[in-house]
Amino acid sequence: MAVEVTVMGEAAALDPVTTEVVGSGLLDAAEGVGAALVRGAFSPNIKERRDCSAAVFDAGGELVAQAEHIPLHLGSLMGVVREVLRRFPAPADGASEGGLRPGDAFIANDPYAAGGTHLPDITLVSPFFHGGRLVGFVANIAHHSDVGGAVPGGIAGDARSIYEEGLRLPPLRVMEGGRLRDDVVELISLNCRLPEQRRLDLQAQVAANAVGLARLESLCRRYGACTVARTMAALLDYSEGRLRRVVRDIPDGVYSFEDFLDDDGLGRGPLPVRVSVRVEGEDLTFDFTGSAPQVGSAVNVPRAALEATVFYAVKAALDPDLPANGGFHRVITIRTEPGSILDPRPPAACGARTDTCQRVAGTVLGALAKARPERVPAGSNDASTAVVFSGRDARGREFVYVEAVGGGGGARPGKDGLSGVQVHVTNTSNLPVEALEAEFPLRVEAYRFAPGSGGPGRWKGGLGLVRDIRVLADGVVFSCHGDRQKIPPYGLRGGGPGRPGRFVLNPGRPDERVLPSKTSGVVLCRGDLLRIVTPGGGGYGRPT
Amino acid sequence: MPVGYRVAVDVGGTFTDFVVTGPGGELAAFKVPSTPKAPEQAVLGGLRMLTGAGPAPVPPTEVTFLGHGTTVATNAVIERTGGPAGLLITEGFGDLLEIGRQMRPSLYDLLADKPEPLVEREFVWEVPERVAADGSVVRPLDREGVRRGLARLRSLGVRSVAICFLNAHANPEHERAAAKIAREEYPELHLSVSHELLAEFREFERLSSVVLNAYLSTAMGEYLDRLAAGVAREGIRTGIHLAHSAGGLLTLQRCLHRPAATLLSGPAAALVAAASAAAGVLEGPGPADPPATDLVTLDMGGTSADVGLVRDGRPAVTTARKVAGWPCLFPMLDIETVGAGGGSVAWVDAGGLLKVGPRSAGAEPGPAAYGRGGEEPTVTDADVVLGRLGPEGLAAGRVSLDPERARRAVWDRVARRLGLSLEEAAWGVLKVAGATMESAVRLMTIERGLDPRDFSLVAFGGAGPLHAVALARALGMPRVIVPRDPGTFSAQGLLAARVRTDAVKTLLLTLEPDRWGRGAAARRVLECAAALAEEVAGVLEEEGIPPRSAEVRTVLDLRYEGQNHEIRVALGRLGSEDDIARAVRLFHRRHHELNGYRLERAPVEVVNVRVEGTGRLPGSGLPRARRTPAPASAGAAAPRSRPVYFGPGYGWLTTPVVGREALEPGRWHSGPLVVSEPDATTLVPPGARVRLVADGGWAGSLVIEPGVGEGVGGGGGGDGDG
Repeated sequence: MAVEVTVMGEAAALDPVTTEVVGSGLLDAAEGVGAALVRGAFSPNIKERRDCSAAVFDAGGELVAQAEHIPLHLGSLMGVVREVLRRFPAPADGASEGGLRPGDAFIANDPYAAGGTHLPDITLVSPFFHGGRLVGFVANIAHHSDVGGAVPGGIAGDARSIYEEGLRLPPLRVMEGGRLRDDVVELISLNCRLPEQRRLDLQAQVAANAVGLARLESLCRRYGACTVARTMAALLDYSEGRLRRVVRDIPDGVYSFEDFLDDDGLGRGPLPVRVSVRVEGEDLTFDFTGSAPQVGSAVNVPRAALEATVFYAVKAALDPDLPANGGFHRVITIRTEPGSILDPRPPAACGARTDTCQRVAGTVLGALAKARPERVPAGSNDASTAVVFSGRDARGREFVYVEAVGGGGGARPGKDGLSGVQVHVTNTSNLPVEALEAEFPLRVEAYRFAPGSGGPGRWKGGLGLVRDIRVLADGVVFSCHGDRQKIPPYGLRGGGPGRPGRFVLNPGRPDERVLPSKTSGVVLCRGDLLRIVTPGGGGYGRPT
Repeated sequence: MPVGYRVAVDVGGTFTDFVVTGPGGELAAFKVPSTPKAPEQAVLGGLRMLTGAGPAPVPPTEVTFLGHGTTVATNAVIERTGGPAGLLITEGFGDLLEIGRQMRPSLYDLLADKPEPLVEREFVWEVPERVAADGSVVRPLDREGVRRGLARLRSLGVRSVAICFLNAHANPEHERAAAKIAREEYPELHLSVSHELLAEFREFERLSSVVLNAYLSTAMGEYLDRLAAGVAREGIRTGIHLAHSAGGLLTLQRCLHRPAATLLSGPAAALVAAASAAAGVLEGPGPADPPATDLVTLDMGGTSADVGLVRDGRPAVTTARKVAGWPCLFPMLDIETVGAGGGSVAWVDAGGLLKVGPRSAGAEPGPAAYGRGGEEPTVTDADVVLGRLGPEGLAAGRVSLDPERARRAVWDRVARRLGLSLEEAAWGVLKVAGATMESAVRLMTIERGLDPRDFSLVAFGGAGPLHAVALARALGMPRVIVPRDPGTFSAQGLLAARVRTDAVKTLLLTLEPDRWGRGAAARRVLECAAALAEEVAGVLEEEGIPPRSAEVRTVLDLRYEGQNHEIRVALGRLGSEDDIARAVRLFHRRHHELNGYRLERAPVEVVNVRVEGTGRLPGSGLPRARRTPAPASAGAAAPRSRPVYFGPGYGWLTTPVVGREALEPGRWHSGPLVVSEPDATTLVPPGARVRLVADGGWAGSLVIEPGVGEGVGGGGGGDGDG
C-alpha cells in the first residue's frame, strides 16, 4: 500500500467555523444513511413505520452524529460498534489477521455477545478508511419484522429465554473487500419467516451505509482526514462541555424516584424500577440499585438499551438541543446490580425490553423533575403497546403485521399533555388503515382517542388511543406486549394519574375477555375483534 | 385571438413583481412594495401604474393574459386566518386529524406542540358508513346521519365542509351520496370531497389535504372576489390565471374549488421559468457540458433559500410535502427550503459554535446594514463586510446599505465572541450558510439517486447569484447560470407557464412478471388512465384549452409487491399494453438507481395512476427582449471597481464592477469580477469565468464556469492533507 503523506498533529485548535461546517457534513452523512435506508428497505416495517436509525462513529467507536429516528436504537448502534472494535481491532492497534479492513461490514443483533438490545434489531457496521487509516464507522439499524423464534415477529412478551426469540448473531463479517457474503446472508434468511424480505432489507442496509461512506470520503477529500478526525473530537468535546455547564447549574444532591412495571407477563409483579440521580458538580450518576431482579420473561433490559434510555432522558430533560453524540455520555455514570432486570445475565429474554425502557425513561424523568421542574412533564403512557397479527391471507400468502400503538403524553408545566403519540425511546409511525386493509385480512373499525384517559390536573394528561381491529380470516395468530395496564402513569405536583390501557378480545360480546398484557400465540377466528386501548398521560398540578 | 399585452404579477413578502410583454414581445419589469394585509392593493396599484401612467400606458382592454402568483393560501395556513371549516368522516375516526401518524412533534423536546388541527374537534361529525379496501360496502351510508351532521355544522356557522370517508378511492359512492345531500340541501356550502380532489389511499394524508382545501376556501374566495372586482374596475377584461403549486396555471374559477392547489404558488412559477429557459438550447462551450435541461435551482431571497430540481426540462413534482406541519397531496414542485437567506441571522451558541439561521431578520428590521434598527448580523451583512455587496444597495437602490453598521454587527456578535478577525468572522458566516445550502442540494440530488455534477446550477432571487459559484464548487457542479432579471424570475415564469390540471386514482393492482403488459390488471390500468385522461381533457377544455392542443402525460406509481413506498414512472398518453411493459422496465431501472437493487422476477404493483394535462395559452413564453433598458443610475453611481474579500488564500482583491450589458456576448471574462444589476449582484471569484449568452433559451443569461478555487463552504483555509 502506498504510504500517504499526512499533515497531522497541527497543534492549532479547530476554529468554530470549520467545526460547524464539517460537523454539518457528518450529520449529513448520518441522515443520508437513514434516508437511504427508509427509501431502499423492502418491508413496511422499515419503510412505512420508520423503525430504523443511523449514525456515524469516530475511530475509537464514540458516537459522533445520529440521524433522529428512534432513541432506543442508539443503544444497539453504540453497543455493536464497541463490540466490533473489540473483536476486530483497527490496523493501527497492531492488529494481525482478522482485524478491520477497508471494504468490511459487520452484522450483529445479540444483546449478550454483540451489544444489541433485542434480536429483531439488526445492526450493520461499516468501518471507514481514508488513506489506509481508520477514520470512523457508519452504522445503521433496522427492526426486521421477523428473525425466527417461537412466534412470528420475534417479540413475545412471555418468552422464557432468548433462545425462543430468534436467531442470535454475534458480530459477523458480512462484507469482505466490498462484496456481500452470500453465505452469511443465507444463514440469516434461512432462519427467518419471509426469507426474501430479510434478504432485501439487509441489502438495503448495505446500500444505505454506502451512502454514508461516500459522504465521509468526500469530506476527507475536501478537508483532509485529519480535519475530519479533529472535527469529530471537537464535536464530542463541545457536547460534553455543553452538558457540563447545564449540570453545574443544578444544585448538588440526590434526586430519587421509583415506579413499577405491572408484571413480568408470567403473573409476577409489580416490578420496581428505582433510580437515584446523584448530581455532583458537573457529573451525573444514575444508580438503579433496588430495581427488580431479572425476570423469566422478555422484559429484561440489556445494558446497551439501558444506556440509550438514560441518554435519552438526560437530553430530553436537561437540553433537548444537545448534539446527540458520545461527548455528553462522558458526563454520565450508570450503576446497576448484576442479575437485575436492568442488568440481566444470559439467557434472559429481552424481546420486550421497550416496555421496561419506557418505565426507566419515566422514572429517570421523575427524578429529574425534582431538579428541573420547569422542563419535565408528568408520567407519560410509558409503554410500548405492541401487537403482532400473523397468518395467511385469502391468497394463501403468509403475512406478519406489526404495530406499536402510541398513547397519552404526560401533562406539561403550563400545558396539557400530547394525545396519541409515541413517547420517549420509541418513535414509530402507524400503518395507514387503508394500506393495512389492502394488504392484510384485517379491518380497523375504530381508531380514536380513549375519552377520559388523560389524568386530571391543572393541566390534563394526553389521551391514550383505541384501535379496534376485526380479523377477517381464520387461524390468525395474535401476540402482544404492553404495560401500564395495572399501574397508571403518575401525576406530578398534585395532578392525578392517567388511565391504564388494556387488550380486550370481542368487547361487548358474551365471550368478551381481557387478555394479559404480555401474551403470545392467541389464535383468532374470522369475525373476532381485538380492541387495543393504550394508557393516558398523568396530570400536572392540582385541578382548579 | 391576437396576442396583446401579457401581464404577470407575483406577490412576495416584501415586493410585488410585475413583468409585461407587449405585442412586439418587449419586456417591462418593475416592483412595488407588497401590502400583506390586503395583497390585492399592491396588485391593483401596480396594474394602475401600468395602464394609467408612463409614456406608453398599456390599454387595459388589450391585456389578453393576467397571470398571478399568490401567497394568500400559504399565509392563511401559517397565520391561521382561514376557516372555519367542518368535516364529515367515517364513524370511529373523528380524531384522525389530530392523531395523524402518531409521531410526536419533537423527538427530545418534551414541551413541543403538534400543530393545532385546522378543523376543531367540535366541527368534526362522524357518519355511520364503511367501505372495505376492495370497494365493497361493509356498512351502508346513514343518510340521516349526514343530514344531522350538516345541520349541526351549519348551526355552528361553518361555510365550508370537507367530506372524507375511508377507502373512498376504492368506491366513492358514499362520499358521492353525502356530497349530493349537501349540494341539494345546502347549496351555499363550499365542499371539499376527498375522491373528487384526490382519489388516493392513505387516509391521513388525504384527509389532511382535503381539510387544507376546506380551510382555505373562505379566505381564498374572499381574496379572489376582491381581486377580480378590482381588476374589472381597471377595465381589464381577460380572466385571471393563478399559478398553482405544480408549476401550472389554473383559472380563478377553478381555484375557488381547489385553493389548496396554490400553496406553493410563487416558488413554483420560478421553476417554470427555469424549465422554460432550459427548453431552449444553450450554445455549448464544449461537448463535455451536461445538458442544460438538467438543473438545480437556487432561489435565495431574504428569509430562506429554496432549492429545486429540473430534469429533462421538467420541474420535479412531489406529493410528499407538508405545509405548516400538514401533509398536502396536491402535486407541488419538489422544493427544499432552508433557513439560509440574506436575512438569516448569524449567532454564536452557548457552546461557542457559529450558527446561521433558521431565524431571519426579514425585511423589517432586516439586516443591520439596512439601518432600520436591526442589530443582529445576517448573511447580507457578511456580504457587505467583505465588499461582495456594494454601496449601490439592493432592489434598484430602494434599500441602501450601511457598511459601518454591518461591520459593527459582525464584529460585536460574531468576531469578538469567537476571537476571530472581522474578515474571518464574515467569511465564516458565509461558509456556515453555504454548508446549509449544500445540504439542501445534496438532499435534492444525491438522496434522490442523482449526481449533482450532472446538473447546472441556476441562481436567482436577490441573493442567489452572489452565493452560487461557491455552492457549485462545493458540489462539483460544472456550470452556474444566472438568468436575465434574476429578481423577477418568478413573474417571468408566470408568462411561460401552461395551464395544468392533475387527476389521480389509487388502484393497487398486481402485474405478474411473465406478463407485464397483458392480462386483466394491465387492461384495468389502461382503462383507468383513459378515464382520467378524459376527465383531465374535460377540465382543460373548461379552462380554455381545446382538446387537440392538450398534452396528456401519465404517471404510474409502482412498487414491488410487499413494499410500501412507490416510485413514479412517467409516460406519455397510455395507449397500449406495450406502454405498461415499458413502464415496468423504467421502474426496475429507477428502483436500481434509487435503492441499489432491482427484482426483475418479482410482481410489480400499480399503486396509483396519475394523469397530468397541460395546454399552452396563446403567446405564452419567457419574455425575449427588454423595451426599456435597466435604469442606468444605479450602475453609474457605483464605483467601477472595489475591494472584495475572497477568502484567506486570496485576501482582498481589487475587483472590477460591471453591468451585465457591459459584457460582450459570447466572450469569456475571468474573475474576479462583480456583475452588478438593479435587482441582483453576481460574484465571479478568481478562478471562475463568466460569459453572456447571446441566444437560445438562455439568451441574456450569465453562464459561469466555477473552475477551482477557494469557495465559501469549500477549501476551508488550507487545512487539507492532500
